[in-house]
Amino acid sequence: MKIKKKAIKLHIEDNVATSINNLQCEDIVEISDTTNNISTVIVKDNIPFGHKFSLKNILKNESIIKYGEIIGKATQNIKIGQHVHIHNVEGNRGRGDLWIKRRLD
Amino acid sequence: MDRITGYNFGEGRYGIRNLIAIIPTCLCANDSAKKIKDFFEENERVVLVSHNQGCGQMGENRKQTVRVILGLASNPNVSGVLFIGLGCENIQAKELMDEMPSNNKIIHSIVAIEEGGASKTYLKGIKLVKKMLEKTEKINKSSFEISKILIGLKCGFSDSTSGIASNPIVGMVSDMIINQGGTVIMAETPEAIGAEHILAKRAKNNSVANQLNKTILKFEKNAKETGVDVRGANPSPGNIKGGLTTLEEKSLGAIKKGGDSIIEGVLSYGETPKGNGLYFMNSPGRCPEVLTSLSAAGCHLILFTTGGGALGSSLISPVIKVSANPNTIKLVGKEHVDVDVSGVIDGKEQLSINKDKVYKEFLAVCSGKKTKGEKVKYGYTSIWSIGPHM
Repeated sequence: MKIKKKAIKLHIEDNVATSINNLQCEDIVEISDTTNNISTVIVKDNIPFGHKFSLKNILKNESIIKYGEIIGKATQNIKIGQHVHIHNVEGNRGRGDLWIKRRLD
Repeated sequence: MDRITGYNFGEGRYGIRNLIAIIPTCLCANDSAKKIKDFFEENERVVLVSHNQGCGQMGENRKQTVRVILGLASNPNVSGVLFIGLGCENIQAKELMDEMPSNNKIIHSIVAIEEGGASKTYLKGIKLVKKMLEKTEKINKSSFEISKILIGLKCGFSDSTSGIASNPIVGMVSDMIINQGGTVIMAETPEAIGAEHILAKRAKNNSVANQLNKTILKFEKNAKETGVDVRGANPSPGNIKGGLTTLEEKSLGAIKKGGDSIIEGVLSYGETPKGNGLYFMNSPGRCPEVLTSLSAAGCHLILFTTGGGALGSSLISPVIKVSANPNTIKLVGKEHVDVDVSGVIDGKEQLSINKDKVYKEFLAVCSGKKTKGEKVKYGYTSIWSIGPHM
């Protein structure tokens, strides 16, 4: 029996969901949200357990929203179903690298 | 209101363990302290505090270390204290002895140089600990209200399951304890960066909200002044592997362990709260430094959520480990996880059932049940240093 692949969307405004299975590229994933609505997305990358994938097409510099809050911004365009993590997202907080850049400029 | 079957030691001290603590005054006295504990290796009532501070410290940094050492000695689970000093250090045993409130506990000190060196310190130390063990052994268990309990909250080796399940569950339990008059301390200032606006909204008043913002933003300022991106330090490589991408994401999940209660005040590192309710304590994120400060503040026990399986624990304030990661439960759960809440992740179990599981474990540990951390005897202590050492 094929295991149903699932993910969780924590807030209605989120543009990412968190996988609760190890996902393979092209898996059809069932996303449940806090209102018990179910939607589906086809993932376009392998997504490890606990990692995020995009629920929308996200443009470079657009905010990543989880828990209904900004958790960072996209460093490149992200297509729906793609893995969302350190390779295409950076945080806005604790950025000593930007602080030092501003001081040296 | 629920009741705990613990110890009423008298003079307002209620505890859930009955311990003798060996505490070095400074880093150089660690060897002497450890040798004495080694003699009592199998005796679970004897706990060793070790730390790297107590010498070469000045100003706020020195004040903080004194506060934490006195706090550990004053913890309600501790019935006897043996301070071990070297003799030349900046924070001397005499100062600590003079500052200690009594709370119905026995306090001794040995200064190794005055005693005549390592061997004499060892023999005297064993004699004093034996005496304290005997004098504090015969105490009957006694029932008291949960309003007398002070607990700490910690998350360690967090991953995505922490913010989704284990932290919200612990948050519900925290609210339950506060609603019955108990006191809860949440800490880990770097893991409030990105979520400070949420905490500030729950502050008791503007003054507390301002203190929260000031404390959290100051921590971020210190990080930025290093000139590097905080990521890799926090979130750690383990957090990142577990799916946490940025510090903000980690913080938004971390603060959920504090539930929804009003934040009554902001505490300094190791400071004891003066009233009931929920408090935020300024601290770094490293597990031993947080657990030590929670014990110093007077926590009877600590609820500790982990995604990836943090092994750190405390032998002064028993640590209840809660995990929602089914892989972690499989890998290290038997030895290191007290409550498995992974049923929430695949939707098989409701949050409320798991909240009840954690609360039930909390009552059981208060009434004497050993935690996994106590069984493996993990309890490394460490005191945060905030200044230069001269």
